[in-house]
Amino acid sequence: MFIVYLFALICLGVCAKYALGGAPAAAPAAAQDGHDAHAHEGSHRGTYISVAVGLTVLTVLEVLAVEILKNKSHIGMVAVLIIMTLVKAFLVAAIFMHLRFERRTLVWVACAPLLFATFLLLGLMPDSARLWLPA
Amino acid sequence: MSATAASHHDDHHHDPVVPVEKTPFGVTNGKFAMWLFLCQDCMGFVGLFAAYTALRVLAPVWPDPNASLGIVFTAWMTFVLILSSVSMVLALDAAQRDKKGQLTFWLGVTIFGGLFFLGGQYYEYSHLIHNGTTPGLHNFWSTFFSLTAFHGLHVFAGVIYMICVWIGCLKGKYGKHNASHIEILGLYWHFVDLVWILLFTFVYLIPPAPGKVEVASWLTGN
Repeated sequence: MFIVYLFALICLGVCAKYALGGAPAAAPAAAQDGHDAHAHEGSHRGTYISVAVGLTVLTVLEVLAVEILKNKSHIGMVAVLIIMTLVKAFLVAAIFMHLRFERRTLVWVACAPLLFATFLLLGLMPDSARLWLPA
Repeated sequence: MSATAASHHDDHHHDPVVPVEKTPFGVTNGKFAMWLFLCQDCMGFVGLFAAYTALRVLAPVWPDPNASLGIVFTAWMTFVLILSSVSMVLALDAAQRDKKGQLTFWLGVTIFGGLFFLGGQYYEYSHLIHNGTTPGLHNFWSTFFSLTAFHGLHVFAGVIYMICVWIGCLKGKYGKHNASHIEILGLYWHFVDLVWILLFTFVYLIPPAPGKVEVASWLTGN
């Protein structure tokens, strides 16, 4: 559980760095539905609706994953759930909160809590990992 | 991105206001301030999540959330919160196109979504407390109630914030010239949505490892 959190945070940081910081003014990834190549200030309504559908589908898949993988693979279920959650969180931050369209400097500011969260989890490691450490 | 504070000062010849494009972050001061606020607010949630993780990892047994909490009901609440995020971006889009009627409508939908979520949380809490699963019962319940209540307070604050802006919309105060105000409101609301997405997975969905599950009825409330 604990390792999983750290892994999730690192993944989120890497995603944020490469996907968000990489091309701030690029066209949104999900913008192929009829609104081809709109400019920075253009309307993103098509993208918003696609993201909404994506988020809904992922939520349904999450609930289904819990049911389907219940007595099969615990690690598999946790991995699937966390990946889907990170995709959802990433979509909200990138599209709804417009980080995809912001300057790289602002993206770095927005990602600062990830760094501190990692420190906090590492700092709590002696407490949480006590069960597995020799006495 | 949108209307800038600088545009109100065009008639001054020696204007000290730096245009938004020339600022280090390329955003208005208000938007940058909201991002800073969200960063520190995020740390508040991180602290609670870290405490939750440490307590859960250390606990010898942990109840299965699927047996104790209404997953499908909460999935519907998640769905409503996601939809309210969508109506919020549509409100911003309407503001940027100076469509005041649509702005008022979509912001009203967002407020309704927020109120619906709060109602759902009230229903969930009253149900749980009626079953005797109060925060004092076990660390599972104390962390559950702290995390969801802290988030619920954010939703409550967001609804009040939105109602204040909505009253301004009814008076026609918001439009293309100050669409960034709607954007700042939206940032807060999407952040609340984002936290719920994480919370839904980590608190409601992920079950404890098979050897650790506790399904005693005094603990799960069933």
